[in-house]
Amino acid sequence: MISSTIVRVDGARFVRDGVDLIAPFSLRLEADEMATVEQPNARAAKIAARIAAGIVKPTSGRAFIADFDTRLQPAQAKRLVGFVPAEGFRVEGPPVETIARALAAIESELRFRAAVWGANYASMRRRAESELAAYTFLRDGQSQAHALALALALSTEPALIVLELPPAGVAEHVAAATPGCAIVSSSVSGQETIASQVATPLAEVTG
Amino acid sequence: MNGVRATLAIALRNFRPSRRENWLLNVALAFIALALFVSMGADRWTMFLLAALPLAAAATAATLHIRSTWLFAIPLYGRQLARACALNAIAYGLAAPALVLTGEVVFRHAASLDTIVWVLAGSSVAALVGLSATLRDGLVRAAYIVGGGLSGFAIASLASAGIPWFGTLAFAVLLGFVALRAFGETLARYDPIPEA
Repeated sequence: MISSTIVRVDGARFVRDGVDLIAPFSLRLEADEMATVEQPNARAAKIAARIAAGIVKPTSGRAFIADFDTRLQPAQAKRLVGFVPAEGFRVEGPPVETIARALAAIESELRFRAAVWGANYASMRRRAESELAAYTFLRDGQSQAHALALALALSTEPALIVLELPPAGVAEHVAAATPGCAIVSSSVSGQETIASQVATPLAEVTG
Repeated sequence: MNGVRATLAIALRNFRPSRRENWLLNVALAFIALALFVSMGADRWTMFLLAALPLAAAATAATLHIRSTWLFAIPLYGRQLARACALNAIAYGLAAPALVLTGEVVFRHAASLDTIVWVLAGSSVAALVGLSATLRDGLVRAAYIVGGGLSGFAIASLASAGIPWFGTLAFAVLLGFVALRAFGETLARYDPIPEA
């Protein structure tokens, strides 16, 4: 039977040179659910997000996206993920001021993703455009970089969206904009906690 | 998914202008090589080709910026990513040797098929071995670059020992396959974690 779970992380730890770099965590999300993985510092929060996205393999414990083990079936797992890195997607030159210019700035990246994901470029572009229109991306450079990264991540119609240390309000925005998806975001708690992350229905997040 | 399409897309993405420093390094190496070429005798020139070109190819491949999160977020297997990176490494690594061979043909009219094969095959294998340096640091990284240079040197030595060009080429293909396979395995195991 195919599980309805979109992401499942069981007791993930990441050890480098004998040192635990993250607080071990577990989570389980279905569609329309969201969880925040809290970690003691920014580096740990980034690693935890990357484990949930299948980009980093846990040293112990396991991570699944849909039913794909991120260690054994990384290609199938990552295909379902829209990953938004903490630094966003930066473009060279002055800040873009309109949606048309924003789309032009990410056009080559969209074409690249269309080729790699095997997706239709025109459909991806439409989704990116609608995301850019819904997001107030013109406030400052950091916000713009996140808007572009979000537009790119959502363009491939992911089942799971992973936000690496998102700025305030971004997780809620994504929750409202992507019904049917599961959302994982990472944040810094400042505490060496070892806890499972509790899923929250998106309906509660978006009010 | 069309693996060839995806592989080409990744390779072409690496050629975007933000990574032009690799090309600049290669062009600089080529100009140095051409300057030495004009000032050297034939024997010393051959020794220079034997030693410097594979080492330059390995060092150039090692400058590829592979440890970025975007590469590891791509839904492909390590071996597929490795093939895309290899296309880049070989293209960068062959820029200087191709210019040198062109100079050899234009100025000396003396580039035999054997020479062309060992220069190009040696530099390609050196680039593939040097590719593994991109995921390592310190002495191990340096060892892969030197190892790449030595691999190219070994291929050149076969040619200078009188082995026909197809024998040299077969050895180069074998060595290149092993190097690419090793890089693919390393890439599959690599975890792109942020610096402390």
